[in-house]
Amino acid sequence: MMDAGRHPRIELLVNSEVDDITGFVGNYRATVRRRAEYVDAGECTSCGDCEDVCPVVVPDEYQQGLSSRRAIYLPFPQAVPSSYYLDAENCLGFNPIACGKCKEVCDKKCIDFDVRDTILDLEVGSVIVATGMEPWDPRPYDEYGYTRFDNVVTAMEFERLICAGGPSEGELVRLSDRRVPERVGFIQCVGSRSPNRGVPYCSNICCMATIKQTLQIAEHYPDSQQKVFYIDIRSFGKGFEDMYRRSREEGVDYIRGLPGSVERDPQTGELVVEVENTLSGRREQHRLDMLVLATALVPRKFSRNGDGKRSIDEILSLSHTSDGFVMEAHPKLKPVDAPTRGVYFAGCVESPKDIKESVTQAGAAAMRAGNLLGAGQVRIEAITAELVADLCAECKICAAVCPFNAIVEANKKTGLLPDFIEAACAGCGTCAAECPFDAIVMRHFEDAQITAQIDGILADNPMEKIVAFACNWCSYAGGDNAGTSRLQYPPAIRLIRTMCSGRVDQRFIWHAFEQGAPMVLVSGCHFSDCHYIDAVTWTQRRVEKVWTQMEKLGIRPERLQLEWISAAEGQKFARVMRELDEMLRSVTDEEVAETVKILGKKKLSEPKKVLGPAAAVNVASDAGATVSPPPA
Amino acid sequence: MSANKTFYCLRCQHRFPVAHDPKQVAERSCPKCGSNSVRLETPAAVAAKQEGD
Amino acid sequence: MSDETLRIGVFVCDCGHNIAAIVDTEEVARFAAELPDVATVVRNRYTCADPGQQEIQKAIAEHRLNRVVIASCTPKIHEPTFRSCVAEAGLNPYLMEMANIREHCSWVHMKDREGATAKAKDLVRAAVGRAARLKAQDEKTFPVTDAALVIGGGVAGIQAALELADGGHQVYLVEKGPSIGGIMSALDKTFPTMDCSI
Repeated sequence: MMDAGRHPRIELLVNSEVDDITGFVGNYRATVRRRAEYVDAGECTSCGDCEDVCPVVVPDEYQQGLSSRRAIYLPFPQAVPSSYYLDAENCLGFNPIACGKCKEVCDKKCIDFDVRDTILDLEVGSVIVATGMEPWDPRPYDEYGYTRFDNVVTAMEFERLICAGGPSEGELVRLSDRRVPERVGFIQCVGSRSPNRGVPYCSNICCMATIKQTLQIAEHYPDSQQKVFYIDIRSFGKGFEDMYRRSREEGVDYIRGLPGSVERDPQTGELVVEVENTLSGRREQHRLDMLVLATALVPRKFSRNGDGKRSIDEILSLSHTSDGFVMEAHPKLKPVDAPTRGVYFAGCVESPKDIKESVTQAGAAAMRAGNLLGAGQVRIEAITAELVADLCAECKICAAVCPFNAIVEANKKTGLLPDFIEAACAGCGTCAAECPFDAIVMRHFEDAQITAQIDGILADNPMEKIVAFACNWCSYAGGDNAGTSRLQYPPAIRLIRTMCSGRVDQRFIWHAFEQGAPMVLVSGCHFSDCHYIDAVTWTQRRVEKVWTQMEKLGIRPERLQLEWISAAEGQKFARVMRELDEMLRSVTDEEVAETVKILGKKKLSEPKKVLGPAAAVNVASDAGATVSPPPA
Repeated sequence: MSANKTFYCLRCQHRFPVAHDPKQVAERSCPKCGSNSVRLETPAAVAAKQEGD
Repeated sequence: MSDETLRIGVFVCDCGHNIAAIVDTEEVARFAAELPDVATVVRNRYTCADPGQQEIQKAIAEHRLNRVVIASCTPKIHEPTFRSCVAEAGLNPYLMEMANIREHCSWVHMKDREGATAKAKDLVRAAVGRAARLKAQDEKTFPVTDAALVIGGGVAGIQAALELADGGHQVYLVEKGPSIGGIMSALDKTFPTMDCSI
């Protein structure tokens, strides 16, 4: 910790949060908000005079609320930076009449109530997300008595109680009478492996944390009795089984079975634990003085007090696996890469892990980032948008829909066409899909290339096939996930990959129907996962427009389906494919023949023709009928 | 302005109310089958369905 | 390039048993040979392995291929592999197209050999159609800002920041709270060696 605090190449930004990150691999721009620091960390000598005079007393978060602190305090003795911190939420000093005692008493004059938040604009090539996890709130498991009895504590509370720097100075005391408990019980899997009330997964570290805690008690209080209630003991790491054996040798009683109830004997104050021992098959009763709950580890909930701020996950469009932790680019081959290039994961943000694993993963993430930074330059895929000037009618729709502001509006007065900024273009293709004139070419995802795929699919027996458009990041990857998991579904579906569902031009949909497709699916990321900010919202608007038009033409809108499938949702992918296969059977030959006839006359799969510059005005006003209007 | 509007599911035909703000594009799914193919019910859709019956 | 006659090479991968046990790759290869502009079709046991890649490069030279279609796994795994493979043989990497007949076909239709084979053929035909219309592209390179943003000052964030800084890179370590250390700093001893967390 100290090394990080004084490293010449690390700028430590505490009390800071990331408000926004824009840009692309190698060229990110981060906006970091550093909250006002009312104590000048450079000047503070940690003398503690301020703390002595502070009249405000609040629970100490570092001590898990087991003791109190003042509104100006040292977060913990070894804090980095080693400076007092003024908790603005609880301090009374912002009203000079109410308080200001700390400022008066500070010799170094390093307290200032008038400082403000600062906004930093950082240019970085790479981002490492190490936002961690949090312990699960055990209150739903009230049969264990956490809310009812003082002597039932969580594993984190236990850590503070046994620590020499803790509220009891390392004396393990029970909270009801501050006496050292003679009999301590541990309940495992509190919230873990409990799909109904907690989380379905194993939290990875709790078995070993409990074993460690039993050894700590055995060391401090050799005469104590200890019991561990468990489902399975998972001591799989290097040195772990040794430690488990030592704990058993110390006399710790491992009882296989989770308690059904915990009650308090009103006479003696003992905790009475009822448990079915699944090894002996007997119901047992255990009388204990203290109970420790090994709570699950869960993804951090980025509740930002409803202030409308986006979480890091939202800012970086990070997807999540079904357990709620962030999803890697590949579970085995790219375990520390986010799907977005230049973004890496370290620590428990990716899954619960112990310190050794966190350190290992952090090293891997640093190496991945270092490789990128060390290379000095990065190649960007040639999949950006290009304007075909001759076809452009200057209707401005492209500029309005671009999620990245990569298109500068045409300017009629100066006769300037829209300007495409290649470095800012991320290649979603929304502009090309929305352009009514076919005046935008998406490199490597051109109209002709995609229609050729549609034709290739429908060249024979079209009635047996579903033409599907899937975005690269989520739906296509969701299909891969179904494959890797060997989830079976009927083979009617034929996927066409685009970078974003925003690329799916309505003309592609009409073309597929025109070629006799009985059904078409458009699928993309969930809105919160969209890799192109909000391009997916244009997909939805477009599909809604096509539904309306299908209805007008007498084509059942049901034949065009829309689905948001994330890269982690292989199961959803397979389920949707089964459902669509069911629906496919309801589409009749006559119906399709009729559609082909209707669309043959309408020419909906062809772009509008430019009639000359004057046409632009008409088109803009007419745009509502065929393309989405720019957002208000 | 959001007002309660009826949506229907293009997969299972379930009808359900949604607080709908036409200015906001929100992700929607059918509360019955989970499909995202849900659509604002228009008078034309109702008419078309009755015709079909 | 536009005046040049199209010469497409199709490479159908068995992927050991992963594809060939379900999809009739022989049949897919025969089907591909009949598609327009296809100059040669090669079936491989493992197209991504060195011998498979050499086969592609050999065919590009022998048949003067100007488009390559590889029917194998998802492009999310091997598109970079095959792009470099064809580039080494002198073909622009954007003239290579993949058909995903494993994740999207053999692995998900394991009990329907006929359906899976029909689907694989369609995917190959679509890929060949697309390949015929592909254009050579030049990738642009951009400079990289030699600095990293590490979000979160727990044990993982601290470690990552130190490694990067030791490696000579500028690091910004952002922490929400008033001190770095995270959850680790609140632990007393840590397993398996019972040493202090700080």
